Amino acid sequence: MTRIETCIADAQALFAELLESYLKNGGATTVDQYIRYLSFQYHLTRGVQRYFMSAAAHADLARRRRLRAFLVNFANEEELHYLVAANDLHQLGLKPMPAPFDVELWHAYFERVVVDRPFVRLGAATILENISNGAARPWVRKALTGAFLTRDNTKFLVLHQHETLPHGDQILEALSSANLEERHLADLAEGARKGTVLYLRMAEWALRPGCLLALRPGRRGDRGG
Amino acid sequence: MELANTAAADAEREAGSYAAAAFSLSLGGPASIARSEPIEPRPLREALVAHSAFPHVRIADTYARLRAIGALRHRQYVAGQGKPYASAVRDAGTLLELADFSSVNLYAVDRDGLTAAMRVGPLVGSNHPKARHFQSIAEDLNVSARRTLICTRLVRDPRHSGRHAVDLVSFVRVRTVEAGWRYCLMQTSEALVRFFERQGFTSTGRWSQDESAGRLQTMLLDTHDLPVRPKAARTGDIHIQGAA
Repeated sequence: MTRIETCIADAQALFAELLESYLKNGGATTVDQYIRYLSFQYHLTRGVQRYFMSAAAHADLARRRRLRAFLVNFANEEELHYLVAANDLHQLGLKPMPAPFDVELWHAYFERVVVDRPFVRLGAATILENISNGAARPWVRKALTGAFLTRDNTKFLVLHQHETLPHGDQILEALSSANLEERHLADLAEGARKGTVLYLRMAEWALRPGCLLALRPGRRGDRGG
Repeated sequence: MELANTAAADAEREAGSYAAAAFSLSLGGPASIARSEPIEPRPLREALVAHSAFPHVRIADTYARLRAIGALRHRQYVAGQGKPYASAVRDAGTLLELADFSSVNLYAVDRDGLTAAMRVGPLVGSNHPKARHFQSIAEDLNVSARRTLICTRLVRDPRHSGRHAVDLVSFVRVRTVEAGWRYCLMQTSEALVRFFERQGFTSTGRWSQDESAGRLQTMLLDTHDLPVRPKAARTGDIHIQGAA
């Protein structure tokens, strides 16, 4: 599991770098960044139970029943979280923006790979659940301050704070207790690396609306709005 | 409510607008809604929904639509009039403020796109920079703060006559009176006081100095719980209890 922990630490450092790029020198999160963040999270987490149910159904978990049970519970816990993001947007008077291209890529890739190589998707899950901690933590805290943030429009954020729901620790614990083989560990690391790339691209889409990645093929001039 | 450009002359010509006429016909003329105090108005996001009599009036419920309104404001206020308003978003050429995300933004369209827009929010709990100013006026005029709206950032595209700006005001009146709201406060420059009087607003005599927009007067609309302004009142001012 050292390999996956290294992947997570690398992802946290890169996320910290991205946040620092606009928060240093007195910068602050703006409401449009927050709207983009909630919008990509809405599309990213919608239907998330399918991944974990698919992973739980894989034959490699036939003798790893604790991990299978964890994944089913995890699917049930996460399934409706996209509605929390939608409600936070509703509090701002808005519907979710269209899915950014990188969320579409995420689903196109992981929907295909999860059936045969579930640990690739689980590796990506370890990133999603841990990227805001470690080196990124102080910058995440700094990012989550803004006059527009209220108790009513930050429920998704609060729900996913490590202290509220320690999914990051729980998934690492479940994986480390599952007596995984080398091929599983290699898949976890591969998924973690790929998940990091795609997640950071989504985060950049949210935080830097003018960036190249905000351009969506076929929608020239429309930066995901 | 700062109306960009001089929509007044155009809009005044059309003071008996399409929307008001449509409602007079469909309702057989305005009728008072019998109520007993206290009334708890419905939230504006529930109240301000599409209406068949105003097919060209929409609610900005996506960021793309809000951004289009912000772009029109920026063209009119910042680029056109040189007002140094600060935007709360990073999108270039867009003027959006935090109040936009706790209010309801309306806009009107024709076949060429957006023609006019306006922001509507509740007085109570408002995060508008002049909220305290509005609250003190409501108190002085003895109007119920929780039944009072603030209308701001009325703007029109210069290619359009301004009739749609009038329709936005009429739409808000119809929908909010139905939902239990009664009063509406807005701010305007002196040049547009007459325009808003034609819509039923009365001068409060209270002025404020906006560092970007200059000297603004606050005006009050008392609908008397009438969703459509009585025709007789359109030639004169409605008396406001306690108004300065």
